[in-house]
Amino acid sequence: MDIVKAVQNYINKMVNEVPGIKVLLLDAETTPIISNVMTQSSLLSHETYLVDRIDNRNRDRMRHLKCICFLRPTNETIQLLVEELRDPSYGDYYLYFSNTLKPSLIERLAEVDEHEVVREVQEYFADYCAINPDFFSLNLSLQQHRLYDDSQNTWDHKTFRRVVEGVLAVLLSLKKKPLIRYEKMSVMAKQLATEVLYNIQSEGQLFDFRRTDTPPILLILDRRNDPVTPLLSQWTYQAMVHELLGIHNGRVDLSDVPDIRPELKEIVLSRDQDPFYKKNMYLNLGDLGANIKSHVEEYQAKTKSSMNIESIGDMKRFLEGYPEFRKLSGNVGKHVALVSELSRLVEKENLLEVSELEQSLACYEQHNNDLKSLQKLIANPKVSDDSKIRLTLLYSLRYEKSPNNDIFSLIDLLRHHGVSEHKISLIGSMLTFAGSDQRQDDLFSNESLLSKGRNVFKGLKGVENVYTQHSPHLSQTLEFLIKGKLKETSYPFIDGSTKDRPQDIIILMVGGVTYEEARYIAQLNESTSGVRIVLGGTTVHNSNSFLNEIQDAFYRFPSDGTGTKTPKFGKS
Amino acid sequence: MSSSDSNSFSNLSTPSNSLPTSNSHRESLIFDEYSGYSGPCPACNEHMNSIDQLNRHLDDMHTDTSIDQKDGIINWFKNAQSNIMKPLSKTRLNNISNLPQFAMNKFNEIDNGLDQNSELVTKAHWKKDGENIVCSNSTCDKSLNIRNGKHNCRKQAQHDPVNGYWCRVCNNCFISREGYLDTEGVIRSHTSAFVEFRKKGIERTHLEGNRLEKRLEKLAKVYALQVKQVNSTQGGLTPPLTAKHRRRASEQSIVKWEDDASVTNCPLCGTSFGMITNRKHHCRLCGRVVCEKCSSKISLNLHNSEVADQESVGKIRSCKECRTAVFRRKDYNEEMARTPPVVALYQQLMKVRSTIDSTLPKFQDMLNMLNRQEIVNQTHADYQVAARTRKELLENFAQFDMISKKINSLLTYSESEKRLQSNIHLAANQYLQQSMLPLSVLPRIFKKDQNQQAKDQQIDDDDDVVLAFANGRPRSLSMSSTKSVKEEKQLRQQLEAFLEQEKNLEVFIQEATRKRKFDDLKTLKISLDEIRMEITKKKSELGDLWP
Repeated sequence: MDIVKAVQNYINKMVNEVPGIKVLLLDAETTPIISNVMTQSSLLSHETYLVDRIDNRNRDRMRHLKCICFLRPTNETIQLLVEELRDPSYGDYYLYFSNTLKPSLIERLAEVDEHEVVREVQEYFADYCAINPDFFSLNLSLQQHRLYDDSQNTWDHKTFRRVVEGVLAVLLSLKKKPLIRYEKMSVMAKQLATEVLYNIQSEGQLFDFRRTDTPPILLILDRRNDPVTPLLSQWTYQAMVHELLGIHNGRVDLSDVPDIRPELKEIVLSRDQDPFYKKNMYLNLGDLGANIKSHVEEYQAKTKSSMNIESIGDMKRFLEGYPEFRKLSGNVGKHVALVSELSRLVEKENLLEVSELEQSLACYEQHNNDLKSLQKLIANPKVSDDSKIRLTLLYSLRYEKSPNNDIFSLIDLLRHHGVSEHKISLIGSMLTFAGSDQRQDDLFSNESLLSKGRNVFKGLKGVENVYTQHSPHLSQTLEFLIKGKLKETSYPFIDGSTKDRPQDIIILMVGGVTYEEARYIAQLNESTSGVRIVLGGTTVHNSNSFLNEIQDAFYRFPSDGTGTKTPKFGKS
Repeated sequence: MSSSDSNSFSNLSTPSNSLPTSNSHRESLIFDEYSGYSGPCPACNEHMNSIDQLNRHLDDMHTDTSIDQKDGIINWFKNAQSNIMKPLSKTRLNNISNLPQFAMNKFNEIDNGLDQNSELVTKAHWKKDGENIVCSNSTCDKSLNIRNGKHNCRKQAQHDPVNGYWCRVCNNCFISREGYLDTEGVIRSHTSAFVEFRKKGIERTHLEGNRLEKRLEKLAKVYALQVKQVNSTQGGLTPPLTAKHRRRASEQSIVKWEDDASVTNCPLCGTSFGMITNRKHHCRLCGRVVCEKCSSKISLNLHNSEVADQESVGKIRSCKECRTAVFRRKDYNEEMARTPPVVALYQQLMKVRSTIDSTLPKFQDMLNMLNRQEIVNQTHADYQVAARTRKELLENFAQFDMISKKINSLLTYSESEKRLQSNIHLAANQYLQQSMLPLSVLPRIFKKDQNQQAKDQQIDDDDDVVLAFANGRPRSLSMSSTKSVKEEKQLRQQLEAFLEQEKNLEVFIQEATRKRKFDDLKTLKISLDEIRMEITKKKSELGDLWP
């Protein structure tokens, strides 16, 4: 269940199939799929010397090249492909589609292939972005794929199709025919589960796999059950970079960083190519700092050794290691720049203080203290407006049902300190979107006496790190699932059922996942033998993108559109 | 009951979660912890093979048992529980939770007979239990004792997810199940369906093409005839108009023309026809009315398509579609036949590469052998063979590099060609960097020898070539007048590396003079001179770009 390998296998198969000079033709959606798992040099080593986009109309005609097409079978790309085949730019075409092809499409393509240039037509189900071996994203950005249609319970039709196809591709590339469970409260999760099941059943041939000991589980969750995780400041490397700078298809844009060296304006974070990153991606900033230091020292040691070389032979040997050495130095520079930028941002936005309150809001019930600290931070000019909003959101989510909550006065306070109405409207939207009436589980463990007790007990255990106390709600759900104790009443099966402990689990989070959850899954995989888990989401959120999505949705929703000034905060 | 489905999961260990939900809390607690059991039902004495089965049996048969009977059951359970615990705790049923290297699995069960199961999963292969044994998982060397618990892997049975029942196996057996570590995803091919669909279409287009070709031929014949007639009546007074009319008549006899009046828009591009601006034209091949833009003149040859250079007998107007239909095959074949120089060069490149790929492992073997036997004597036969192979390889590498450079410097007209060529060059350099590193091992052996004899500059030269390749820096760059930013950057990097080398050399020379190692000093100075030469060369190449 290594999805990075699964995608790499597909791509290697594509480029290995044919010898000779090749061009790889991609579309807008398959480009990130490939760039997430392959480097240019690995493509070059398979004689793939050109990579181009099918929507690039200015491609030169090169009939002496073989063309590997890796495309999503959408109407737009099929149209482009039809035009391409009518007047082929290259000699031979090997067509690989990232999802199932309708027979009518095959016929349409066959009709236009008058030059008989097409050699292969195949379906390779690499239809998702594999980020970590156990973490994928369907990469639905707000611009191209809206999640919600006209309420927070309805799918946008086009996006829905894409998500279903993405999930099917994940299952096919891992060769799993799962039993599907979903979050009962979520209408969207249920709809997705039903549709996925329908597709599995109608593509019986494709899903004809060897029986496994226990059926794999596909668990469909809804972001709305845990709106807290994407709102928190992150302190582990991968998550933190995404929260503060944003990781887009493995790339981080550093062009806004003051005094950045030109070659570091855009850097690539790749597990495969960068052993340092692989080793440290789940560590928190403190440990990371220590490792960077030793990394730099290692580099210095290597530089120094060039100084006391005793003979030409030594020097030459040193130079033999030069490519390696240069790579190392580039790596050092990259991570030093990245980490120093992170700490600059932390310093600038007072994130340590903010995060401390965030964690307290996320983990403990202590209303008066929280309120006081929150008021203090809202008054603090060093704290960014976004942080203030995030804190107020966390406060509102936790104390929504608490009789003495003070959301109204906090909103006034935010206004008083110049936070825009636009942003303040999020508080109402969030409570409508994922308030406690919308959530299925007791997220804050403050709804029943029993869970309150558990919460107190949790508090007594002591914490290692104040800033990383929170564990995503997903962890509870998974704990039960692995033990085979996840309640069918709240996570029903869509069809069939099993009492066995699952060995393979695939989770899809509708509404986006976070790197915090990715890290949790990685650790769980590491520590639990006999169980393998893959987590994915419609997108990978940071607080910014999460809030944008909600805001965008609520501006479009007919009823709740902008009337957020009179929200019904549970002051009953 | 004993032959029901659930039996297949029994006897050895039953997953605690397979209890029916209807169980009372109390019972399931007991079952959770101690799940291996076989004995009679306490209420009716029917033989039960597992707790699980017993449990279900109790649910099914004895749900209406009175309270005191239930108490009896509980007591009985407690006894049974202590009975189970004693003999089994050593090898069979310990808690799984703190033993990460174990997990459950299912194994084959033939004939459904439960008694046979115990024979199937025998203990014959079990490792002997003893004092101070440790976990045989390579990543875990916990000592096995009562607290950690020990388990033997029951791997000798066949894994069978369909009819099997749960067994405990070691981590290795767990992950080596067929398909467990598979990372090959599903693939579905539609090629044959595609070809099938295409065949139909292709036949149609071929027929259409042939039809049009025939027409073209006929037209050519007609034209040729008329040209002859015109020539024969040269002196006569045939007005050109009549000739035109006659030709038109003959054209229409071959292809029926579409009626002008019925067409208002060009069928191909949709623009409307006018009296003067956008005139109507008839395609001579299909007879349709099209506009000026969508039609063009094609020349008529008597023997169409087969022979290229023959005299044209005239020109006719044809629409876009007919033109491509007629000339499709010809155009395509012509284009395919034109191979640009890069293809030929690339083939050469690959040929050299395959020679390298085949000799390199042999050379590696030789090196290993030399290393093992510590042969440093140059006159040794093996050594000489190795040296020869190395030389061959070096030549091949040089040739490889040369071809790749040639590819890079090919003149091209298109942007993509250029990108293609530079990428081939880049890949070639990558390949060189990777595969040339082992070559530099031999010089070290050479070197030992050389230091003893303190001579032979030749090999040193070779070394430089190797190093230059290994670093991805060709020793001498062919100059082009226009330097891209990338090239400039590359040059700069090289220059910097050389400058660093120079600095280092100077330090070495100072040290050598201090220590009075004159022999070393001499070679060092030669190297310094070489490097300085290189530096001046690089600087001149960079020109005023170098500060």
